[in-house]
Amino acid sequence: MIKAKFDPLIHGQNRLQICAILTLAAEIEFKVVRAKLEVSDSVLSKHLKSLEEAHYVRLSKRKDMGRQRTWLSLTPDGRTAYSGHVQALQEIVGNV
Amino acid sequence: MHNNDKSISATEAKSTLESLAKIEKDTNVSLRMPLWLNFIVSCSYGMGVFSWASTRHENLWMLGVIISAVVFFLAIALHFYSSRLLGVKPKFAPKSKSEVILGLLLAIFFGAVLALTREFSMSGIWWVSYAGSVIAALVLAYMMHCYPTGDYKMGTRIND
Repeated sequence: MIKAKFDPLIHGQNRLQICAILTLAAEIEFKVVRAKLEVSDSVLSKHLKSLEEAHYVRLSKRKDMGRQRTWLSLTPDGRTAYSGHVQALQEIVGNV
Repeated sequence: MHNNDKSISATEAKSTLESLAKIEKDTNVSLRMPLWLNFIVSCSYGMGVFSWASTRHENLWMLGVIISAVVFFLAIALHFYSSRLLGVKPKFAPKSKSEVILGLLLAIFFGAVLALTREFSMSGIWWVSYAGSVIAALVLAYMMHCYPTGDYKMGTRIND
């Protein structure tokens, strides 16, 4: 059972959207997330660094078909934090 | 940035949830299998159900089961491979409670259709194998199109 918990670290729009995208797949490549968010490499890298330091996101650089690709995935902690945050938001909306 | 939930207004929370629903919907749509591949997967599955229901000792419908299984798994493998080339690795195993629930319900449904179709077909009701295979194929196609991530909560948001 996921407990509703507001998490200020992921409340920023881009960070929340990164978690929302990553929760839908096992791994998503950096460039796909960048295209979805319509942000620059540096902005996305900055957000990912914060999420990685909190152990919410895992970055994995692998050579695939001769070129370097960066894959992003949500850790179990990140998944729990995201679900709890969404529940907390739903509770706030429900308490109007 | 706000430090606690007291500083978030209901309006702000609502707009945040709406933006999340939008990005989830967009991502869900991009994770969908192409329609032609969905058609091949569903038809091969339906064909497998029909072949299994029609298999007897004296006929060759078991060959249909084998061919359907090969086509089905090749199409699934192609989907995973092409998704990976496009920068997305679909989930193999369910990761949330809603995904587990949907997975279990679908496993029970498809198992029941497979078993009942064969059982009724063997007891002489010939049209059941046609009906069972069409139902299985249509349900599979619908689920793969509307719930590509295997999460019924995400699928519901698509139709919002």
